[in-house]
Amino acid sequence: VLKERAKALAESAIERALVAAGYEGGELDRANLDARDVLRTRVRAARARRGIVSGQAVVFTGPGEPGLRPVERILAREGQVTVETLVTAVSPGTERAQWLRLPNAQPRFPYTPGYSGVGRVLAGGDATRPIGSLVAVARLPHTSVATVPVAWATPVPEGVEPAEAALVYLAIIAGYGVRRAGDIGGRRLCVVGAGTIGALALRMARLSAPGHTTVIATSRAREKAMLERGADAFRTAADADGVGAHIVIEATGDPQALRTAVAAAADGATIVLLGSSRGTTDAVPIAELQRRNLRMVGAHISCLATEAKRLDHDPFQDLAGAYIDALAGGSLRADDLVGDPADPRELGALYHRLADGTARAGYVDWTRIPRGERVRVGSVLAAPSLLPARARAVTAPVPDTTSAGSLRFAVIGCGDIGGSNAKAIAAAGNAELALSYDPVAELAASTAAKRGGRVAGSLDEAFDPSNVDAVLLSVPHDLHAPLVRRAAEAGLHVIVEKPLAVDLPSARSAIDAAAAAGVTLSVCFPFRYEPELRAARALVEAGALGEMRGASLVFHADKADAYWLGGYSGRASSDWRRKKDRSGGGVLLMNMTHYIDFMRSIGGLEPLRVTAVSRGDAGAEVEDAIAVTVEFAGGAIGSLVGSGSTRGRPENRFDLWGEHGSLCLEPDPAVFTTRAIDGVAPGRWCSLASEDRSSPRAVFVERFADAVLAGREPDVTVADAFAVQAFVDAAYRSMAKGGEPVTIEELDR
Amino acid sequence: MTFEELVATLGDTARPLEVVGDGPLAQRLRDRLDAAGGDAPATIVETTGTEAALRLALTRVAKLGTVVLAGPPPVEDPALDLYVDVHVRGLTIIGVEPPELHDEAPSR
Repeated sequence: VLKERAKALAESAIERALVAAGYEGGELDRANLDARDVLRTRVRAARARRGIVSGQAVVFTGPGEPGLRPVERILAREGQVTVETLVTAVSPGTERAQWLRLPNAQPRFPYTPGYSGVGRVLAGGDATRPIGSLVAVARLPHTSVATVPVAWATPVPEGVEPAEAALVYLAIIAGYGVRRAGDIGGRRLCVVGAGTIGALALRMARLSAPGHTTVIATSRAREKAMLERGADAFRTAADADGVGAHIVIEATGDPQALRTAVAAAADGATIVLLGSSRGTTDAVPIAELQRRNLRMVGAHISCLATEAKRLDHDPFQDLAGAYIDALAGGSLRADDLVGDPADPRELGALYHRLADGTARAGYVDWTRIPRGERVRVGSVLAAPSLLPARARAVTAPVPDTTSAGSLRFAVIGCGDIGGSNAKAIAAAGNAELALSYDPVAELAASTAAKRGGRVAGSLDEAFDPSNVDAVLLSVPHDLHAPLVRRAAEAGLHVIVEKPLAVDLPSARSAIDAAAAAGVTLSVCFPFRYEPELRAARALVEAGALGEMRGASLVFHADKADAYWLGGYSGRASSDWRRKKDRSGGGVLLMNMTHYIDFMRSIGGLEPLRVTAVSRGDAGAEVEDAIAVTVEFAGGAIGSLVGSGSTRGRPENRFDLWGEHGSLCLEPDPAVFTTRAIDGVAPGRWCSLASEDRSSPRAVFVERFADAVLAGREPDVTVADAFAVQAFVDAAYRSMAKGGEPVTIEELDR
Repeated sequence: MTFEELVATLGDTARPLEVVGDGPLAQRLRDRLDAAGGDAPATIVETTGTEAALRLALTRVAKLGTVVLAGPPPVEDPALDLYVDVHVRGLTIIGVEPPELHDEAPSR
C-alpha cells in the first residue's frame, strides 16, 4: 500500500510540475509518459548504483505520427553492452505494414519500431567487444542509445559497411527460415519474393550450398540484382509452375502468395512460410498439400527463441555471426538492400515513400543529429531533458541593406494608404519624404506636417527630377499606369500601391514604359516582410513543405457602406472604389491580391488555370464576394473565397501545404513539417515568429531604395506584380463567362 | 506417404500426440498409436477433413508442433490467416493422402 501511495504521489508531483512548466493537451500526456519512463529508469539505476545514458528514440504516438522522444537507459553492467547507435535498419516489410496498420501489424501506441542496427560500444562489453568497437545489435529499435545483453551485439570487422551490418536481425530472421527448411545442401531451392527478406533468405541459404536456386517475384524489377547476387534463375509469379523446388521459402507477406509457392514446389517438397502474411489466404490448398505430400512450415522469429531454450548454444549468435562473417569475407553482399539514409527526424517521410512504392528500402542515420542531442552520459541526479512544452518560434531576418545614400520620394495621393506610405518613407533609413501631393491640398499639407518634406503645388512639381528620385503612387487604380508612364518619362523610379494597374493591358503598358526609361518599378506588397511571412518563406526554401500540393484562403472583411464613398477613414471622399473602370475590381483586386502574391512568393505557386464566380452585395459595379478555384503549375490546386461584407467578420484562414508539411499563415501562423530543418521540431506545430514588429511597409520602402541605390532588381519585381494582375484578370474573365475556366496562357491572346 | 507409413512415422513422433475427430479413421489411428491426450500436444493428426476440425487442430497443437492432415480432402479449400494459424507459432503442416478405407478389411 505504501509503495502504491508513493507511486501515486510521485506521478501527481510530475503532472503538477509539467503543467507548471506549460505542458497541456496531448503534449502533457506524452511528457507524462516520458517523465515516468525517466523516473523508472533512474530509480532502477540508483538501486544498481549505475549511471545513465540519455538519447532519443523514434516513438509512434498515433497512426502516421512518428516523432523523436527523449529516452534514458541504465549504463551496462557485467554481461551487457551500452551502444551509441550509428545506423538502424528499416524493415521495408514489417515497418511499412505497421505504418499502414495492415492486418497482423498493428502494435499498440505508443511504440518504438525497428529491428537492428550498428553502433559503437559506449560502456560494458567484453574482450571481443571493447569500448569504441563497432557492433551489430539485433533486436535494436530505432533509438540513439541502448543497453543490451552482450550476446545481442556481434563484432563488426573494419571494412564492413555499417548500413549492411545493420540488417543483422533481418538476416537472422531470413536465416531462421532457411534453417526451418532442414538440410538444403544440394537441393533445388526456390524463394518466392524479392524483397529484403527474400533476398536475405536466398543469400543466407547460399552459405549452405543449395542446388539450383530460383527467385520468383511479381515483377522483374529486382531480376538483375537477384541474379547478380546468388540466384541461378528468375521467374515471375505467373510462371511459377514447373520450378520443381524441393524447398520453397515464401517470403512475400502476401497472403495469396502461397499459391505461387505450391506451384513452384516439387511433390514432397517443404514450403517454409517466412513472410509474415498480412491478411487471410483465400483458399489454402489442403487437398493439394495432401495429394502431393507437401509440408508447410511456419518460421516466425519468435519460434527461434523457443528453440533456443532447448539448445546448448545461442542460435541467434550463430546466425548473426554467419551473416557478419559472410559480409566481411565477401561471400554475401547486401549493398542493394540498404537503400538511402534517412534523418531520424524524417523517418515518417521514409515510411511514406515505402508505402507509396517510391522507395524499396532505407535506413536511419543517427549521425544526422548532433552528438550532444543523441548521446549524453550522466548521473541519476542530472536534470532530465524532456521535449520543451512548446516548439520554439521560427524566425528569419530581413536581409541587410547594402547600399549607401538616400532616395528622395514624392508621395502622390495622400488618402488613407498615402498616409501610411508617407509614414513608411519617413521611417525607412535610406529614404526621405521630399514632397507630398494630393489634389485636395489639405491632405498633402497634413501629410507633410506629420511626415516631413513639403507640399508639392502641382503634379509637375512632384514629378520634377530635380526635386525627387522616386514617386510612390497611392491613387485610384485607373491612374496607376498613366502616372507610371509620366514618372518614367521624367526618369523617376516608381512604387505603385497594389495593384499594378486597373487592368492587364494597363499593367503591361506601365511595365513597358518603365523598361523603356530604365527606371525601377515595383508594387507595394509590404506584408511579405511581416516576420511570420519571412519565416514562412525561409522554411519553404529550406524544404519544409516539399513539393507543393495546395493553397486555400478564406478572406473576410466587413466593409461599412461608407467605405464605398471614402475608404475606411473617410479621409478622402470619392466613389472610385465602386466603379469598375476606375478601380478595376472589388474584393479580389482590392484585398486578396496580397494572398495571391504570398502563394507565389512563399509557395512558388504559378497559376495555370482559374475559375471564378462572384456576387455583388454592396450596390457597387465590382464584386463584393468571390469564389476562385485555381490549378497551379506542378499540379497543386487552390481555392480562394473572399467577401467584403461578412457580418461579424469571422477569422481569415490561409494555408499552404505540400508533400512534407503545412503552413498555416492565418489566423495563427505556424508550420508543421516532417523534414529535419534547423530550428523546427519535426512532427510538431511550431509557431512562426511574431515578436519583431517593425513596420513591414517601411521595410518594403527601405528594400526598394536599397535596390535602386545598389542597382539591383527590387524584391517585388514587375514580373511578380504582373503575375498577380494576370491571376485577377483571369478570374474576372471567368466570371464574365459564367464561371468557365480561363488559362493564364490565353490572356496574352 | 501411405497410411502404414504414416503410422510408422507417427510412432517415432514426440509425445504428447493427439488425434482429432471421432470417425472410423480417428478410432483406428488411436488404436494403432495409443495416442495420449492432454494439453498442447506436440503433434495432432486430423482425420476428418472438416474445416472445423482443422481449425481445432491448429488451435490445440503446441508451438513448434505438427499437424498432420490425414483425413479425406475437404470439399472446399478453407480460408486461413496463415500468420496467426501457422507462421507465428512455427507449426509444421504435413499433407498426407488418406487411405481409401472402403477397400480395406475390417480391423476386427
